[in-house]
Amino acid sequence: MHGMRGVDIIGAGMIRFAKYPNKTLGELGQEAVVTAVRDSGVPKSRIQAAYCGTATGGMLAGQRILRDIGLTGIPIVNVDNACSSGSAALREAVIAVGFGVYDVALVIGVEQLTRFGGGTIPLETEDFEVAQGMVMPALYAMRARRYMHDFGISADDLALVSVKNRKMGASNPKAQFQKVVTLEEVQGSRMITDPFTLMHCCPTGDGAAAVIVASSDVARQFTTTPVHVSGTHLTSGVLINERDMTSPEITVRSAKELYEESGIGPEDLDMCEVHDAFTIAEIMYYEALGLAKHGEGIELLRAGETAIGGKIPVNPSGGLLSRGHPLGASGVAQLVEAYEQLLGRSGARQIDGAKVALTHVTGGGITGLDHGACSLTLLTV
Amino acid sequence: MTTTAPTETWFGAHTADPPSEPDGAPTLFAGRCPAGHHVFPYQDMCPHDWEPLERFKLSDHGTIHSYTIIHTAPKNFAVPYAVAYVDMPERVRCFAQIVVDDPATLRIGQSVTLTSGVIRTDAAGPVHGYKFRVEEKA
Repeated sequence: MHGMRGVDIIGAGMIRFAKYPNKTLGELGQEAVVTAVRDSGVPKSRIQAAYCGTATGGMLAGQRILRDIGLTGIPIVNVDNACSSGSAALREAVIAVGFGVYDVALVIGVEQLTRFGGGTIPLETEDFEVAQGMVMPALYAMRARRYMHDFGISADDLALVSVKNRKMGASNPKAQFQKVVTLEEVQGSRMITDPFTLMHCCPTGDGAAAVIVASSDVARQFTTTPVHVSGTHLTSGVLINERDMTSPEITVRSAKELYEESGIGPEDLDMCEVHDAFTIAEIMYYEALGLAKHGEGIELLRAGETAIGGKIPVNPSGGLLSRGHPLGASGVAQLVEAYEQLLGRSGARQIDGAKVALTHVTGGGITGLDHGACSLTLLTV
Repeated sequence: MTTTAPTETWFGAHTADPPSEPDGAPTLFAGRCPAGHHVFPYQDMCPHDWEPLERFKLSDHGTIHSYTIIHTAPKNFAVPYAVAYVDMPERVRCFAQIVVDDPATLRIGQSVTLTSGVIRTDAAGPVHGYKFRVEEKA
C-alpha cells in the first residue's frame, strides 16, 4: 500500500489442531500467544495492540485469551470474517503498524468448533439458502459436480487432493491428522454430501495460532531473521447472476489485485497455503491463483507439481484437510507455516530455498456470493 | 380430547406464493429493474442501482445447473435430501430441494418442475416451501 513503512513477522506459534472440548477458548489461545511472543524475543510490555480473528468465539474473544497472561490495557480488536477471520486480523495489524499507529502488534486466530458438538458448521438460519437446508459441504459439492461435468474429472481425481495433503500433514506435528491415507481409504470413508466422502472434507476441530508483527525498523532490534509482509489483501463477495460455479470469482479477483499491487506474480511463488476446505477447492484455487489454466488444475496435481519437491508446493502443512480447520485459526496457522518454511524451520516437510509464500483463505457461505470474504497475504525473505 | 396442531409456516413468502389448491404448484417471483437486472429471491430494491424492482412471476420449470445429495445436516432437516441450483428461463438461478424417486438418477441439465413440500421441521412444527420435482420420463 502507498505510504506504508515495511512490516515484518518476527515470531510465530500455534497449538496442535485437535478436539479440545474440555478447554476454554482462553486456554487454547494463551499457549499460542506465549509461544509466539517468546519466539519473537519481544518483551510482552512492548506489545501495543492485539487483533484476534474468530468466527464463533463469542464476545471479547481476544480479552478472554489475553487477560490471564497480562496482555490487556491495550487496544484489542476482535475480527470476524468467517474462515478469513485470522488473515483479516493480520491485515488490520499490518495496516496499523505500517502506518505508524503501533510498532509491535499481536495477531491471534482461534476457534473452538467442538462447542457445537460436531456436524456441519452452524450457519445463519435467516440466510435464504441455509433456511432451505444449504450446508457448506453441499455448496462445495455442487461446485465439484459442475466442475466434474464441465471438465471431465472424477471423484477419484478429487480424492488425490486429500491423499497429497494427508501425506504432508503426516510430517506436521501441529496437524490434526498425521496419518497417511490411500485413495481407497478416502473413497471408502462415509458419504457426507455427494460426491464428497468424509475425507474430502476438512474436519471439525479446535485450534489457535499467533504471530507478532513489527515495523521493519523495530524488528531489527529483536531478530536477524524477520519475514517481510510483501502484501495483504481483503475483499468481500459480489452478487453475480448466473455465476460460473467452476471459477471462484472472489479468489480470481483477489489474486489479480494482489499480484498487480505487489509486483509479485504466480510464477514467483515458492509455496502456497490455500483454502482446501474440500478437495475441489484446492483444484479450483490452483487455477484462480494463476498456477494452472481454468479446467487444467488436475494436471498440476497428477504431475506431482504441488507436492513437496514439485514446482509449486501447495499446502505443505497438510492444508485444511489435514492440519484441520478451526475457522479463525486457519488463516494465522497458514502464516505460521509460511514463516517457518521461509526461515528453513520446517523439518521433514521443508521446501528447499523457499523465499516467497502466498497464503489464501476464503470466508463463509451466504446466499448469492462466491464467498463472503477472501484474504491473501504475501510473505518474503 | 383436544389437540394443538403444530404451527405450519410457508418459507419465502416475499418471493414465493404457496399453492392455491391442495395439489397445485407454488408460484415463484423474481425482480427486474429498469436497467434489466433480474434478481432472485425478490427484494424491493435492486442491489446494483438501487432502483425499485418490479415483481414478476417466474416459469414453473427450469433445468438443473448442479446438485448434491446431503447426508449430514442440522437436526431439523431429514437426511438424505437432494438440493440443486435450478436455472430458470428468466435467467435467474434458484436454490431448492429436489424431489426425486432415486437421487442416483439426478443429472446436470435435467428438467425440473415447481412443486412444494416440507423443507424442514422446527421446534414449532413443519415448514413448507417451494421445491422442484424431476419430471417423469414419458
